[in-house]
Amino acid sequence: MVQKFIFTLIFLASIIANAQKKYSIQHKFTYKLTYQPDSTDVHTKQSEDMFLLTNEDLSIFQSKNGYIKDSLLLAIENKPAQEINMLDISRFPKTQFHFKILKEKSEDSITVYDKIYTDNFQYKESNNNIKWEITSETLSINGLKCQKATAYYAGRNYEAWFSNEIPISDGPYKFSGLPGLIIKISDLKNHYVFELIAKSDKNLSYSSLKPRRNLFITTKSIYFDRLKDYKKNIVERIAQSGFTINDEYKEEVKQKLKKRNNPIELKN
Amino acid sequence: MRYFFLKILLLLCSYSFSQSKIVGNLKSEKKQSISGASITITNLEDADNILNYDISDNEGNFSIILNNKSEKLKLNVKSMGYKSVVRIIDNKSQILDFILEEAVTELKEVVLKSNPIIRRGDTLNYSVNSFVQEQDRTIADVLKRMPGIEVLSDGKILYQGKPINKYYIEGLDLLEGKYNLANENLPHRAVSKVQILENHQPIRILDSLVYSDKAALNIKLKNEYTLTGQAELGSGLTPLLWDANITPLLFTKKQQMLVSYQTNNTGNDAASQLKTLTFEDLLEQFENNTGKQDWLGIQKLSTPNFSEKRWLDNNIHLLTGNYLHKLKRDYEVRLNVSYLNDYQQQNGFTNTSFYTPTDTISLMENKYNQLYLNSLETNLTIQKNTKENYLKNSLQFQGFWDGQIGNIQINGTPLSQNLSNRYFKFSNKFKTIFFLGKQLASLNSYIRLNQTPQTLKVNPGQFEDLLNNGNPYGEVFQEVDLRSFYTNNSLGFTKGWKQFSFSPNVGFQFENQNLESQISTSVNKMLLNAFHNDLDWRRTKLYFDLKTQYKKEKWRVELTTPVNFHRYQIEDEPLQESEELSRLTFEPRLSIIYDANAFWKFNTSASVSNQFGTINQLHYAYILRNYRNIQRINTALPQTFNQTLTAGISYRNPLKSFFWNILYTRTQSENNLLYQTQIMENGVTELQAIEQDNDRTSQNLSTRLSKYFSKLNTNVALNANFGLQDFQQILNEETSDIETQNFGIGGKIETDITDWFNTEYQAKWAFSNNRIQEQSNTTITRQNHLLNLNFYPNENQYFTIKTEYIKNNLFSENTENFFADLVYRYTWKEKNIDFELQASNLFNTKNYRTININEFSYVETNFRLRPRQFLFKVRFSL
Repeated sequence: MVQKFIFTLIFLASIIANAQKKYSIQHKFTYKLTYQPDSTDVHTKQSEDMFLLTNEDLSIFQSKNGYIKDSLLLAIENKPAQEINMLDISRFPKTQFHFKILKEKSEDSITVYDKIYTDNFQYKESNNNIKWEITSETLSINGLKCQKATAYYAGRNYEAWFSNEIPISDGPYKFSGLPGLIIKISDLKNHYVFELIAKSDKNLSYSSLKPRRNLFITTKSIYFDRLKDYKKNIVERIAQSGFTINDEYKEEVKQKLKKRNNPIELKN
Repeated sequence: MRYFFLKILLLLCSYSFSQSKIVGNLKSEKKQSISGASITITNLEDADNILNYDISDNEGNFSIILNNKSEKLKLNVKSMGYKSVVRIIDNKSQILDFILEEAVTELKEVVLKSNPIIRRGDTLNYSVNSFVQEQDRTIADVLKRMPGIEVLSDGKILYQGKPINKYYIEGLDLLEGKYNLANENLPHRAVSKVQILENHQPIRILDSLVYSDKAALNIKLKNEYTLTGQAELGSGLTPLLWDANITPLLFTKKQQMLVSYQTNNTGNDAASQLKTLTFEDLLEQFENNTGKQDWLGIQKLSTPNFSEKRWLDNNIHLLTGNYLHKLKRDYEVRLNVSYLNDYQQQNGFTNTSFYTPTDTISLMENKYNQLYLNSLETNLTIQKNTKENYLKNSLQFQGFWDGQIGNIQINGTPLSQNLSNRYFKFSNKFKTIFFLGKQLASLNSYIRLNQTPQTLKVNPGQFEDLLNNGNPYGEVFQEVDLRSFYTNNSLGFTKGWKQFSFSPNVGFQFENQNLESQISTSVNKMLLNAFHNDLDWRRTKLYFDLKTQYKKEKWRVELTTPVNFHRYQIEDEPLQESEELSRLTFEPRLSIIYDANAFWKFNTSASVSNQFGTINQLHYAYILRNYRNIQRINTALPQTFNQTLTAGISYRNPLKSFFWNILYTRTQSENNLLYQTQIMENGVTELQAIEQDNDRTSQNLSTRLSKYFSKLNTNVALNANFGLQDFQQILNEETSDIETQNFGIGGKIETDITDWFNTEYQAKWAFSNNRIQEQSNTTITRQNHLLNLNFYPNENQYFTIKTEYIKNNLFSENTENFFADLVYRYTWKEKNIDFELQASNLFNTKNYRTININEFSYVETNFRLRPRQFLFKVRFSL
């Protein structure tokens, strides 16, 4: 009886189709992001590598460590035997940026996947939000002829250097819409600086865009409201997953959060 | 067609503003619209400077407005996968449609700057001198300034935003997780350089298999010897209080040592802080049953269920030493030694009501207990950590020379108990991970030898009917000596196939024990055989465990199918009692987790298991467990068959900040023995058992919900639980059905009133009662309210007020207790000194009264608390 039950279960599980979409990627651009998590302390500067993966129809922007972690998780899912070797998830690559940004040429909006604690969120945002002003300043960066453009986005003024020599109207984070790839972009305070550091034309397939678990579809404003709630209520949220934090450490968690006061989007 | 008119319209409009507007459309040779192409306009001379541009939309349309005086302009169309088009056009509004030819676009090479981040596997060196500033004292101060390194306020070190996984000093890891002890006390003058080892994998055999992006930090010392450390000193009133903790550290290139001495009489149980138990340690304690065993005891007072700092009357001295030495060929030896000496006093009285089917017996005891704790623990570990294998061997010795003295007044009659509960253990644990073909396998071996020589002396003599023909006598004396040998060895690995994974584990356990015990009285040194155990106990277990896991999409199914063979050989030769038992058991467990969607999750599990009695549940002669409890189980080996079922549902809605879960557990146990308790008129009990099948059922239901209100900056959480237990027991010759019930409900509100002020309020109600033979006893209610106010005026100050209100309803009356504590802490950043002022029990509450419900008794305890006290502490570097 029990056996029959298990086999029925297994059968049921296997007919649920694999919903994950596969994208074939033609170009991989690596940007180095240098950022300052505490706006009051210039010594807190950190950096992380980011990937912009493109093909003719779309692009995906994600942190390099996030990309590696996704690939590892995917490998485990397909080969459970690997699990024992990888059990210690704490040794997995870590990233401070969990967003994955999908820009499709055929859509008017970009799709953003991001995380709050263990929950995944999806929201859409118009891709016409950024109004670029082109200037006549030019500069050669990494052997590419670049021209400067400026724009205001989400509480910061940016200057971008794009190159028509790479005819891909795209860039790091949510930035796109210039007649060429953005080679470097930074806000005027240099709190967030993206610089192109590598390019490779290897074909690869990408299949871990849409989070499989705990995905909540919402709007941008709700996402950012919940993010604010989470930061204020972090101790209780951690307690929900079974960890208790003693009173003295609570104080430290709060002090730590005060030092992470400088998100890329100041206004939404 | 519509677009055509639109274009005409646009053209007409733009003429009137002396601007030119260029609109158009891009199509491929296959008549497909090209979106995302860039159309740029430049001057003829300066082709690099884009005047204006557009990106073609979904339908391939573009439109560019120009305010330029040049007569001729250059138009450029570029798109990935198509041949670029360059055309010289007149500066006037016009419509330009293009058909683009397909072509492979070769992207221009990017000339890269060298990436300043050091590549994988490399070591990054920071010279300390180049980062030091005048005000710096410790290495932590300097680390903060090194690019890429971050030191958090709790001492955690991050490299590139990620926590480091090891903190080495000269390649040795003495402190493990507690590295901030060195980091915050080691003077920077002692350090020559700091190294960052990127992509560091601490277990090196996993190196090729498990990618690690974490970095380790290594401190290179300047000198041969470096001595540093930390001290914390505190004193207060009343009575005279002290609290000291001195931790010197010694580092050399090949060996390292950490010593710590702690002493206090403030109610701070330093021994519990010593043990930083990992999950692995807990598991081992469970599997190999490595904890200290006590056969005999004095009548204790049940301790209040709030912070021990309010009631523990102690005088503790704790000395620990850790020593680490690096040997040749990747071997490392580590020695931990700790010595504990503590003297604890308990003062109070208990009022016990025993409920029998026919009667209620009350017993009033005034207790004064003195506990003397004296123990030594040593642990010698050798570890080898290379790419080919990983092995770790730990040799451990534990010795407890504990003693307890209990003085009781029963209705004015004094009684004294004198206990010596010694315990010695010698054990060895071996673990290795190696390659079995391509698979990683692990081999575990554990051996233990232990001895429990314990004695209890009670004055005047008890159990007169049983021990002295009903006549009063001076003294009863119980001796117990248990010697045992135990070993457990296993081999396991994991193999995968499609969506399945199989983890077989095979092993055996063997246990050989000898129990000798003897009751003697001041009148008769040689009592009958019924008071003398000489028990030989041999247990063998062979096990084969297969864990099968299946994972796909929303399902996760796990089935464990252990097959065990048990063999017991038990014999007491003088008593001519013996038993042999061989059993093959199959104890499967199935668990299913289903993630229906992001909001709802379901999980359930079912399992069966067999449990066999241990040596303290089967001895053919009497043992006096404590002054009023004597016990003999001279039946068959206890056997229990358990069936457990759990089911849970959880609902999470992070969009609304709402979370809820519920969990139900039911366990049914079939026992072959029915316990029989004889309660005498003076409250003394005699425990025996008879062979009769009986069931015990326990059920538990718990639920919790929480919601965050953004506008109020407030989180509200509610929880409830309900438990029910049914079982049978023979009480004074009558088989009784006993049912115990408990119900609890609670809530918690947390509010951030400002950035620097937050409050937390908790309330709890607990109701419990029991029924014996349908006869319900009083329901006991306990109410708890907690209010904490926390202030963080700035980074180096912390102030908190904790208040607690407890209301208990006792047999006839209610008691109320109110507690308040204050803590203020100030950090003097420049000198790295912390000051702390604690004021506890401000209302000077002297006693705490509460009721506990046992199987067939209610115990009301009055426990004497610590008086109001003030303590001032300073923490600084040595």
